[in-house]
Amino acid sequence: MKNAVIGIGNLLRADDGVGIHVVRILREEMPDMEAVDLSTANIDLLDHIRRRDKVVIVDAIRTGAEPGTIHRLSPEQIVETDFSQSHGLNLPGILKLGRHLYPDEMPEKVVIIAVEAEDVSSFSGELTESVRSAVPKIIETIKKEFG
Amino acid sequence: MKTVTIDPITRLEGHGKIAIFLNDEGDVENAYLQVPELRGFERFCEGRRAEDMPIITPRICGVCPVAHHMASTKALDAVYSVEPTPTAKKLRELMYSGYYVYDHTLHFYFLGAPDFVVGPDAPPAERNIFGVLKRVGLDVGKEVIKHRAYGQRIIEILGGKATHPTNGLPGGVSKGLSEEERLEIEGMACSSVEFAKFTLGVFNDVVLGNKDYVDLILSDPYQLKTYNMGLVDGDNRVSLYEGEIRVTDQRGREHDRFRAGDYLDHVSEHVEPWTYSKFTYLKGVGWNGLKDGEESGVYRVGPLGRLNAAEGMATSLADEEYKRMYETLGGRPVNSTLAFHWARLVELLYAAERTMELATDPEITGTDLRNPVGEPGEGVGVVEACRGTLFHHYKVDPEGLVEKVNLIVATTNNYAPICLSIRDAAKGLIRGGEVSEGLLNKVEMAFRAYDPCFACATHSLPGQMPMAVDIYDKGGNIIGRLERNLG
Repeated sequence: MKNAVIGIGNLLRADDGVGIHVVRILREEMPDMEAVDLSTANIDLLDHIRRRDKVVIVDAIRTGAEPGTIHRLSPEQIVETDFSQSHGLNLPGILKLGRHLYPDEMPEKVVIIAVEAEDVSSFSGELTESVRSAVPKIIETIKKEFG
Repeated sequence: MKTVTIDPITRLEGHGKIAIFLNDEGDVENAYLQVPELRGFERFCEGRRAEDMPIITPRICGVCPVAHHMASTKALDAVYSVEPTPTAKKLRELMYSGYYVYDHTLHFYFLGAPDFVVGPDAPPAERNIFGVLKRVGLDVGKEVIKHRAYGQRIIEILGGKATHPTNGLPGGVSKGLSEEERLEIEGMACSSVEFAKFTLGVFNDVVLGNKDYVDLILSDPYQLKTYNMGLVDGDNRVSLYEGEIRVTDQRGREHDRFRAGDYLDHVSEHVEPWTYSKFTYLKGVGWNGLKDGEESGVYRVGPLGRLNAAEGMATSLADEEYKRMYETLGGRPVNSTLAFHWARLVELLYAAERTMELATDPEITGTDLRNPVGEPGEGVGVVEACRGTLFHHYKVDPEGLVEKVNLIVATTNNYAPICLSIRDAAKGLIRGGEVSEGLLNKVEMAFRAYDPCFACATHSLPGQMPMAVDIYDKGGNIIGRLERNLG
């Protein structure tokens, strides 16, 4: 398979799990698509990004916009850090590492669909209403990415 | 009193903050790592079906889901008064060994090695995996990626999913191992043993071959004389999946030994108003504040805690490395916080060897995977998570619904020692209110050795993690700030 959708987020932290919710729906609606539930954006991402043509990553984000807003971002728009502290490399770090180690195996295009979250701290397996109602549009946006 | 605050802020909400308090002379008196609240997780679990717990609890945090899955599954064994079948037990341990290969590899190369391979005084921008790769070469980098992926693959084969396994059931597992899968694991295990030996070689050449590093490991700011805790087998060798909990004292003598189900008689929790995390301590010794020594119930868990609490490793190559570590560092126990990194590599070799042993065990492809369960009740499950002893304690009603949950995670066990190690690392670098260069590096090194994880909801998009040191004067006014972005 040449394309993949990767959902990132904590399924137990309300809207933080939006990426996982979306991936679960995509598995039903696009059975040919590789839809990955990854929870954490750590080095494991590299295994799923390598040897793909195009990768869409779905995650929650907080920018202050209206909850449910869909942001389409490129990896370059995510702040690069020196990741000397946390367990997880962030996305630019992972892509940089991938290009460093496997220059011929990295996808040409990585797109991030970041969904504005309302609540990412309550222990809840449910999305808030504002994010839940955005899910059909998120699915549609992802489908469009793959033409 | 002056306060120095180091503030690593995670991506969304909740952040750990390091506050360093100075005395009247402007020297370090105490250091506190404030931990964000884990809001309502126990309540979230209440009323759920007990058998869902091994699926729910790994989602608490993305860093050690396999350990939570296993502790939870073992708690259900106890809740339903059932022992897994011999094959099920081995399959669980095989998956667990794969998790260690994965996690310890990742920690050493991505988090530990930057401090040593690149150097403790190198600029932060170079103290990362790229700095490590520059020195060890890209081919080694590919081996790192490959072997941590092997660990993931083993978890996937046995657990159904690489990140969040689903195979644990009370009394056994839901999935057996085919001969084809067994062969695949055997191949990966064989390669992992060689890789672990290679990694210990790197540590030997780069760290032990450099007198400055050895002096740093043995230097006063990184010594902490606490009790040590870890699971051991019947011969007092390190055990990761099962065994009794052994506690040794500051001279390496057995201080306490107990079964998982009795933990509340031996371990207690202390609450401080300035942090959401509790401090665990040995009940028999008592809580005597944030200090080390025989009079303080503070203990350490994790790789060094485990090796100190045991008398050897259960596999031959790892046992040789165990002995070499203690011979080199002056006998057991080793109290140097930075020796956590070495202990972690001894365990990496053990986990790889144990994966090999289990993958070639004739019983591993057995088909008797589950024993019938009894009536639900109360139970405790304990495993050694990579970061230390992990307790899951559930009370389940007659309908099989969860009534009460208590979790003690590895980092909570290590919480007091982490605060003490930060204090001691800062002591040498703050004198008379003057903060020396390198404070952030040395403080980071102190807490990174434990591989602490307060990340109950962190994944790193957008992943910025600024770290700030606020310096307060005696009156509580900020007189300066140092900061850096961490990933």
